Amino acid sequence: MWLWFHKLSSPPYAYRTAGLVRPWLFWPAVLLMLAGAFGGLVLAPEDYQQKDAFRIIYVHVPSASLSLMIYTVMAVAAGVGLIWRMKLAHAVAASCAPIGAWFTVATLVTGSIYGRPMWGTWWEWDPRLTSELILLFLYLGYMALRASFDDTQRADRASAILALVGAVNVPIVKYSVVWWNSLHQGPSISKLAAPSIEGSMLWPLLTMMLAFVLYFGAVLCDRLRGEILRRERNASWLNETLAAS
Amino acid sequence: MNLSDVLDMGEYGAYVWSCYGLTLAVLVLNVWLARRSLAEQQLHAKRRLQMNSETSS
Amino acid sequence: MQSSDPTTHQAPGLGRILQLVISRDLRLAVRHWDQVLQPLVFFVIVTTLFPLAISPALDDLRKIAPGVLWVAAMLASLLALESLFRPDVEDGTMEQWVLSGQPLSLLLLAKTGTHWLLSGLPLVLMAPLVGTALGMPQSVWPVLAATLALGTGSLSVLGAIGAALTVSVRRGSVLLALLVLPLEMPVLIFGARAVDLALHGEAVAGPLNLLAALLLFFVSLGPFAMAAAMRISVES
Repeated sequence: MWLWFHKLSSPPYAYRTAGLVRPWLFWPAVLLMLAGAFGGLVLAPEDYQQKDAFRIIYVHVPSASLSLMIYTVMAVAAGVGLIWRMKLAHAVAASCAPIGAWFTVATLVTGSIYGRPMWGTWWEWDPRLTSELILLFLYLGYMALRASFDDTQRADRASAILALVGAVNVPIVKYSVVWWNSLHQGPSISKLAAPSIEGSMLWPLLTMMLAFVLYFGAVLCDRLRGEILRRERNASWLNETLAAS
Repeated sequence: MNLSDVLDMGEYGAYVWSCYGLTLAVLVLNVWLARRSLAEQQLHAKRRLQMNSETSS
Repeated sequence: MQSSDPTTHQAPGLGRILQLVISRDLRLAVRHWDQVLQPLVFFVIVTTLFPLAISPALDDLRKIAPGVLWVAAMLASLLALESLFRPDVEDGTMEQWVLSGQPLSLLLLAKTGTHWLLSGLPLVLMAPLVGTALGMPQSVWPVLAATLALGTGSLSVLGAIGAALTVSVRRGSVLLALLVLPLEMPVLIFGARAVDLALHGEAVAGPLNLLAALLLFFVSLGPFAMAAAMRISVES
C-alpha cells in the first residue's frame, strides 16, 4: 500500500496514471448524470409543497456538496504537501481550486434561482447560501494568494497555510452563520432544505452526487497532468512520455 | 409525464431549465478549460524539448 | 539582542527576549505616534459616513449602530496591520528572528499582542463614545467594550496570519483584506449581534462566551500559522 503511494508521488507515474484513469471516471460520470437528470426531471413525482420546482435540488445539492468536498480535498492535499513536502500533493491542491470555485458559483446561482419562485426574492441571507458565499471568498483568496507568488514552491507553501487556516475556519463559519440566522423570526428550517424526501425522489439525487464526484475526479486528472507538466519543466522523463503521446 | 409537462415544469419551467442549463454550462466549461490547459502545457513541453535537443545536438 | 551586561556570556532567556520585543515595539510606537493614530481616526471617519449616508435621526442610527461600529473596527484593524510586520521585514530584522533559533511563534505572538495594545485597545475605549454618537444608550457600553475587547483580539491574530502570508507581496494590502475578512466573519457575527442583543435587553452570555472561545482558539493555534507563513515570506 505504501509502496503504491510512494510510486504515486513520482510525477511521471502520476502523469501516466491520471491519463489512464481519466476516461474511467469521465464516461461513467456522463452516464450517471444522464440517468440522474432523467430520474430527477421525469421519473420523480412532483413535490407536495414545491411542485416541480424542487427538481432543482438535483443540480443544486450536488454542486453544494462538491464545493465543500473539493475544499476538503484541497486542504488535505495542501496539508500533506506541507508536512511531507510532497510536490505532487501541492499540485493536487492547486488543481482543485478552480474546479471547487466553479461549483460554488453554480451552487450560488442555482440557489438564487431556486429561491425566486420559493421566497419571491432573488437572494436571501439563509445559512446555506451565506456560507457558500463565504466559501467562494475562501477559494478566491486561495487562488489570489497563489497567483501573487512567482516562485511555485513559495506559492505552494503559503497557499497551503491559507488552505489549512481556511479549513479550520469552515466549521466555525457554518456554525456562526446558522446561529446568526436563527436569531431572526420566521421559519426555523433552512429555506433551502430539500423537501422531505422519499425513495423515488432520493435515488436520482444519490446518482447525481456520485456522478459529480466521478466528474470531479476526471477533471482533476486533466488539471493535475497540466500542473505536473508546468512544474516539471526540464525533467528528462518528459521526453519519452510526450514523444509517445 | 409527457414532453410538454417536462418542458413546462408546472409554472417553473424557466427556473428549473435555467438551473440545469447553467449547471451543464459550468460542467462543460470545466472540462474544456482543463483539457485546454493540459494541451497547452503539452505543447510548451514538446517545444522546449525540441529546442533542448536542437541546441545540444 | 544581547544581554545589557557585556561581561556575561549567557544567552538571554526567552522571557527577557519577549520583554525586549515588546518594549522595542512600544518605543517605536511612541516615536511614530502619528502612525498609531491613523487607524483610529479612520475608525471615526468611517462611522461618520453612515449618518451621512443614511439619516441623521438617532432612532434610525441606533438600529444599525452595533453593525456599523463592528465593521468600522474590522476595517480599521486591517489598515493597522500594515505596520505590524512590514517594517521589520523590510529592514531585515525579521530575517534575523527567523534565523535566531528562538521560537518564532512566540516572538510573533508578542508582536501581535503589542500591536493589539496599540490598535485594538484604543478602539475598545473609543467605541462607547462613537456609539453614543450613533444613538447607543450608555447601558450597552459594557457589552460593547467586552465584545470589542475579545473580538479585536481575534481580529489581530487572524490579521497577523494574513499579514505574515502577504508581507512579501508587493502592494499586498488589498490581498490581505481579501484573505482576512472572510476568516473574520464569524467574529463579526458574534460580536455585532451580541451588542444588538444587549440593545434589546436580551441575554448576551452565549455570543460573549463564543467570542472568548474563539479568541482562545486563535491565540493558541494562530502563532504557529504566523511563524510558518513568515518563514516562507522571508526566505529569499
